[in-house]
Amino acid sequence: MDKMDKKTFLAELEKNLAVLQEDELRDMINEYEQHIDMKIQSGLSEEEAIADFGNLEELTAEILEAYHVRTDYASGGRTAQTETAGAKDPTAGGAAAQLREGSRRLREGCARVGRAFWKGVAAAALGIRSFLVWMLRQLCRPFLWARRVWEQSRRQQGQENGADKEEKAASGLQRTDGDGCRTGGLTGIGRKLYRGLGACVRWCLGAAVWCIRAAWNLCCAGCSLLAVLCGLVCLFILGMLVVLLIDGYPLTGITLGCLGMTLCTFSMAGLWMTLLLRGKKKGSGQNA
Amino acid sequence: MNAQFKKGVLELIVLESVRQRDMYGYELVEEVSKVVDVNEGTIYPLLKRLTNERYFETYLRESTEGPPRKYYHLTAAGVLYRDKLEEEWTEFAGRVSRFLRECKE
Repeated sequence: MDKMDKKTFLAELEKNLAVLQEDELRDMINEYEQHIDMKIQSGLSEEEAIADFGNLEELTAEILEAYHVRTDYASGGRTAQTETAGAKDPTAGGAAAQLREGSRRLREGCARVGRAFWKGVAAAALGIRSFLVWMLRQLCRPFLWARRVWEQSRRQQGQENGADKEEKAASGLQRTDGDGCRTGGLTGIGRKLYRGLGACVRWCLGAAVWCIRAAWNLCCAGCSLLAVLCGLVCLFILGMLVVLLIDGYPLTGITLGCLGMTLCTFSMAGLWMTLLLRGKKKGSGQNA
Repeated sequence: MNAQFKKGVLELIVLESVRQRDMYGYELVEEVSKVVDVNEGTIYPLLKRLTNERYFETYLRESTEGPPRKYYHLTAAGVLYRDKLEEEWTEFAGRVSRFLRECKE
């Protein structure tokens, strides 16, 4: 055990560390190989260099500890150990299996949380949208009511006018002098005036509606533009933070916060955009 | 020296050595051996662990003799961790020595 050459030492080490991933294992073996080479360069023999590492079992245990792997697992080699462990106790099917199981469960959990999150977001968006539509309806209600009243009154006027005409026609039949003609002309002027006034009022109303719509759309567009700008700034900061985070700076919290801000601003922009489209549709519906 | 004592401060010594300048494994083992007498094999698992915990990052650099060497560099998180360890160590060592002094009196 104590007298070992480089090749057997590395082979033993590799066997004991078989539980590790291939590239990690290579990495470790390379480090030890280089270390031994340098020791030899400095004038020691192979055996001496390896003896300095002490007990191989303890060394392996320490390496595995660094990876948070149960040290008793790998000491007999991978295949033999898993078989015996599996046969002895099905619940403890080896550390690797446990790790795999754990990671699978974690992945599933993440997927579930993600799905629930999106569902929640969709529900919230739907709720906000329907609330806003409701608000818009409430806001439009006075206008619609005014219009209905206006139309109703016009219809009544029309009916009355019609009744007037009939009466006049009847009186015209009885009285054949020019009087009837004159009164008819007078009502004609009144009706024209009345109609002109109506058109004017209608035009004014239409213009007001158009103005409100334009103002609303402008406001929406402005807000969404502002939100997009904010979002771009956030995205930029997020990128920088991610680079720093990868560099190892402890910025996880700030990065997550920035990610949230970015998502928030972009979704705000989206919300304003949808409101913009809604306003147009609503306007065209009213016009039709 | 007591093995348990060594294990605790080894991390601090390694972190401080790498903070001074970037080093490769063998160099670091020699540097640490100057301070405490330690089994050479145990430095590598420690380096691995600290790298996995992102206190170190590594890069390869060509050497005039032999294959390229893996250098270790202390990250910002590593610096913070080192400072924390040093603080803990100073407090711990201070308390123990104060206790021993008091017992002698």
